[in-house]
Amino acid sequence: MNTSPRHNVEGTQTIITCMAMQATKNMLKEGQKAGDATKAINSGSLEVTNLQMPIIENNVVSHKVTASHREINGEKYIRSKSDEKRRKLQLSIIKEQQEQQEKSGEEIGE
Amino acid sequence: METWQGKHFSITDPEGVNTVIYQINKTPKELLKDYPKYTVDRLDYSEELRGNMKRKTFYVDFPTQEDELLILSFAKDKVVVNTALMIDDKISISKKPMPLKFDSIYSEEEKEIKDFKYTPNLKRPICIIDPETTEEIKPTLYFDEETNEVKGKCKLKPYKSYFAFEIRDKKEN
Repeated sequence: MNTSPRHNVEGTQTIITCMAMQATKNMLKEGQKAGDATKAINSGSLEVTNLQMPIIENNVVSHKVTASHREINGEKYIRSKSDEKRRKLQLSIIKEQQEQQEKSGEEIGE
Repeated sequence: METWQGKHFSITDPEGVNTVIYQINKTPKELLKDYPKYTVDRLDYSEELRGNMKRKTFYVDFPTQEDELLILSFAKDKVVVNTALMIDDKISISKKPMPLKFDSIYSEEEKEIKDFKYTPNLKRPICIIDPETTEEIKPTLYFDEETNEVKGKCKLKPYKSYFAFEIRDKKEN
């Protein structure tokens, strides 16, 4: 490699390699020296996890239920409680929730 | 046979923590003569061990459009009370869980242990949980011949902490 700064020195060839560099946008703050770490911005939020808290998975999955069984991924599992009264309570609660939604929908419309 | 859709979701308990979850039901007007204003259902669950942690899957077999859940996490001398809302396929957990510490009473002296009875009011359901086992202390029903009524009684051990809860409206005292 020809390290001479002079061009066209007889018998040698100078290879010049260059690349384009984008202007550095980070500005040094007062008192900072070149090479000081630039400010890094974290994304997301820091959360202190209490070791005694359970970790709850956000997603809810459906399964089929009968009076005596629940069916998950094709497998049937006997339910510990089998109660017709409980089913009646569920349906009644759903009915009241729907009526309340319709009522609040009408009020908003007004 | 009638079939309907249930829901399930999972949690992971760290070592030493045992979580139980209740579904809170607000009784509709048409059934208030048969039920107290609020009832609770303890959710069935299955569990699998993952190292020294337990992954539990809780089953809501009677879901409604919007369900409120009570999450109780029992540790050695503490219970953390948390609530969650389950709507469609998502669970939203309260940002402010409430930790409760209970004192354990330990004595070097020998004491005679006697069970004592507590009669629950069946119209005002209060759940009593043994924090060591997380099992509910359920009343046994009996017929009171003097008052001609069906009553319930629970056996509670003295010098032992229990966790009890009741669901009430905010307006009530």
